Amino acid sequence: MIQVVYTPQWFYSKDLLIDTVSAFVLLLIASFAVRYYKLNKKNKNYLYLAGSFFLIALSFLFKILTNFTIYYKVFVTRHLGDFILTYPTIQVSNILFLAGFLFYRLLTLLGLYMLYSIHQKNQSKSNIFLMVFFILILTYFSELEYFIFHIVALALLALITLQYYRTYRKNKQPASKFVTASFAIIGVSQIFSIFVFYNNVYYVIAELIQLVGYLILLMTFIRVLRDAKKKG
Amino acid sequence: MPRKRGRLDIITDMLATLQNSGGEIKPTHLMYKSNLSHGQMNLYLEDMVGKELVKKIKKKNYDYIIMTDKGFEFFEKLKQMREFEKTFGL
Repeated sequence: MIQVVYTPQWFYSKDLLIDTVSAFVLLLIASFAVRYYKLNKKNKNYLYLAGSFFLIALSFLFKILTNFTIYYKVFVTRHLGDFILTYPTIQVSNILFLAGFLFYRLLTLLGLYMLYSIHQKNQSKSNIFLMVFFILILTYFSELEYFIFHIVALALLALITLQYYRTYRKNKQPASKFVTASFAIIGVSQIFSIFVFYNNVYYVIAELIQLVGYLILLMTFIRVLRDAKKKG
Repeated sequence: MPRKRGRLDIITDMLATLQNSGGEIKPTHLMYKSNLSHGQMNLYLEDMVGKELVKKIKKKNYDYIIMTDKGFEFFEKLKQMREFEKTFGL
């Protein structure tokens, strides 16, 4: 079995909390995007944004559920001669690991690709099909070389950041600048994730950077709602 | 060249005009300030009255359009939607 637990022991459950916060931010924004789509059904981009955020949030939920399976605590009893020793330990399970992490990677990449596609006008259906096919292949092979998943996620996040930077250049909205920054930061977290093989401290750094990215996204969203109220 | 206003843009402009006038305005003023023809305004007004976003009332023999609570709420949502749309470049 490949190594799956990159979390240092002292960081157990804290990473689950970070992923829960990230999923919450994404689901919150997705729910508002659906609400806005209902107001303006002509603009399907609201729906695509909601769909992409929902897919990424769902991927986090798969990761959380998988980690829950992996980090369960058990009491181990050993016989040492005449002595019986019972002690608690963290047991690693692979029951749901394969399916859970497969869906985590697949949904993350599909969500990021969908988010990237919003700004790509006139994409042919064959191109979309080809990309989804490549994502499926990549997801399967990243089972063997886990860092490939992070490299692809980083590439997609870099393209998404670039799109939001262009949006900011066009509209000069400070909120767009913060959206750009949040995706850039989430991208940086992927760089650290690539190196988790070498040292699990990189996993902690990646998770903390990811938290900062999603908190900036949340604050930007709150700012958008607040600024809208001020405008006449 | 500025793009042609859609239905939702026109309703947003009408509600913005109403809000800037303290929630109450004469139909002719609404027409001018929202850049609409008489026919267009009546069409949208009918729709908005039907959805209870605005009400027509008479005051000292003059017709007035007033914005309802539902209208104010809807306008808030529209503003949020526009701000969201701009921020995320949708």
